[in-house]
Amino acid sequence: MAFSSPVATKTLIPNATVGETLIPGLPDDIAAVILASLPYSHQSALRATSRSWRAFLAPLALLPLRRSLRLPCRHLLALFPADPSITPPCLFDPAVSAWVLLPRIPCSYHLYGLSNFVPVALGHHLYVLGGSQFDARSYPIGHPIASAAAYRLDLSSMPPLSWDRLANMIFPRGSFACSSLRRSSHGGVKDEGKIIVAGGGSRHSMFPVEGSRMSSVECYDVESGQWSMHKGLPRDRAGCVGLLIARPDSEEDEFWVMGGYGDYRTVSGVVPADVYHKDAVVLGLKSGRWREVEDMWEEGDRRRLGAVTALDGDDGHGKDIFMLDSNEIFSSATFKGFMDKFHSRYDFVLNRWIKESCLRRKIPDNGSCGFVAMNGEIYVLTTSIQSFDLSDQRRATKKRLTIEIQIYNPQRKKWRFLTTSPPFNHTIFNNMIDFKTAVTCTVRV
Amino acid sequence: MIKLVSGDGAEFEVEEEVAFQSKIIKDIVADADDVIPLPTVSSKVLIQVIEYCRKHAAVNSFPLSPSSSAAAAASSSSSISYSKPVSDPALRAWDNEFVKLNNSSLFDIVIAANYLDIEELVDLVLETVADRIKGKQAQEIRRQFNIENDFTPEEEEALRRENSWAFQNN
Repeated sequence: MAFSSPVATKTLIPNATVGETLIPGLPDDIAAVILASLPYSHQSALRATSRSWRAFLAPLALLPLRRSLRLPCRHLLALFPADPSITPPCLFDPAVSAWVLLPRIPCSYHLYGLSNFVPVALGHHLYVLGGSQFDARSYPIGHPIASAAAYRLDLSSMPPLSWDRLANMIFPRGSFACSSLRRSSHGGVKDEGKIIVAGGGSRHSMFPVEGSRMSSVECYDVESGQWSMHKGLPRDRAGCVGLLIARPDSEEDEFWVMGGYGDYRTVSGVVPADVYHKDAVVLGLKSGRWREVEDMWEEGDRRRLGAVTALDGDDGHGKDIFMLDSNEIFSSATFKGFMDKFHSRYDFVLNRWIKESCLRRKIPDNGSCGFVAMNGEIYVLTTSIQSFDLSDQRRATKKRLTIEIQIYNPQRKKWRFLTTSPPFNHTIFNNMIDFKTAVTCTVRV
Repeated sequence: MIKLVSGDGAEFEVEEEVAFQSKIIKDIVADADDVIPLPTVSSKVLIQVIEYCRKHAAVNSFPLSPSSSAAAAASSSSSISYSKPVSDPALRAWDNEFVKLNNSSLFDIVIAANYLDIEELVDLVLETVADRIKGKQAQEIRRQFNIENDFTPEEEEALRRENSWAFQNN
């Protein structure tokens, strides 16, 4: 770990620690660099060391210090295995394979089976927006409807953490494109900024061909706590992905909305089928205008966009985009990216996905995986159940949910592997995380 | 040769490339004579720092400019990589032996290295101390670093309950 010079930290140490040494024998500016460099998931245990450590390791004081020391940004993975009002979400710290359960979202007596909701982080606030769910009061029963609900969890508040209900979105929606827009890269303490949601519909994961689609776009302003409408997408688009991208050759940051489905088409005149978008639409955040990007692949290359994730630059804005495209026909998972597009003008003009690498461990045709960029690497998550003998005498076996992670480093072009078991009671996740319906997002700490 | 004078008056003659591992000394030598008083550094610590600099000067036989540019490159890429850039494995092993010292000796060295602006040595010691904190219980850390427990038992119990991160040894 490369530390920048500790000399510069003198003015940055929170007032609370003045007068109380962090580590006897060591100047506070040097001790501060050491403590700030420790993994996020260790910090809560270290707070019990002394009062000065507790004050120093408070997230609100520590996060700005880490930023000003230019310590490498760290991501945590927020994993939502299922309906978060029933199955608790959890955080995973990939640096040290540590897990923590988050509280459940408050549940309602009438609503159940939330899916296709979108989690997003703005600073150390975690949001859960919209989705599609069943309502016991609606008619016909068993027909999913979209949700407009918005919840927020402050990861830096004092435990026990709890979700706050925010103002509803103007339009209920699930499976939409979403991104948080921080006001500035170094950010305020209060996580000021906006959250943009675009498109989406009412499709539920239990009914994969039904559901509406929409083009409306709205923004949540953190300071005012209100949603407001924005100029809509050029066409209806649901099941799409949203990415905040900062390109060196572009004057403004951009919100990219990619893939998803729009129109219907019927197979044999009866069966409805989705028409998948091959293109993207891009919102210039300064100009406020939508721009259309042409088809990103040729007819026949693939039917639809694969899982997409963006690798953050130092400022937290996406720099490189990666797509995982598991090809059903050739039964091989192919790992592609159009990162080069952003590194060179020519490739940008090409507007094509360029092959980057192949998964080292193939995912079967019917398999599903999580796909997320963290800490400068691309994580591909799959689950398996491991049975292991508790003891030889009893020959009892216990099943344990194991998450296998293939991690690709695009700078070094190298793969590494990580296996982790969420160390929770196995009944919490029902020994199952299905990445077809589980959703993830990353939190920068 | 450059003469370094420790706080307790002992004089140490070192080669330029050894002394120039310290950016401060390099700047001083550029516009002054070759006797450098270091009043805040004791001779015990100075001997250890010179030992480190001698070893590193011998390995990075191109003095300063390439090593500092390498350090700059390392810190710019640090947003991506989590581990220290791999230097010569033999040197790394030597470093690991070098830091096998008790905490107070390490603290004296890092204070001197920070004062002399020897970036690699500061990083090495900070990383070593961080490793000694990682994964330890609060009680263990207090004992090891001589930190006073200024919590009431109730406060301590409450803080212990707050920590719900679960670790897993792979």
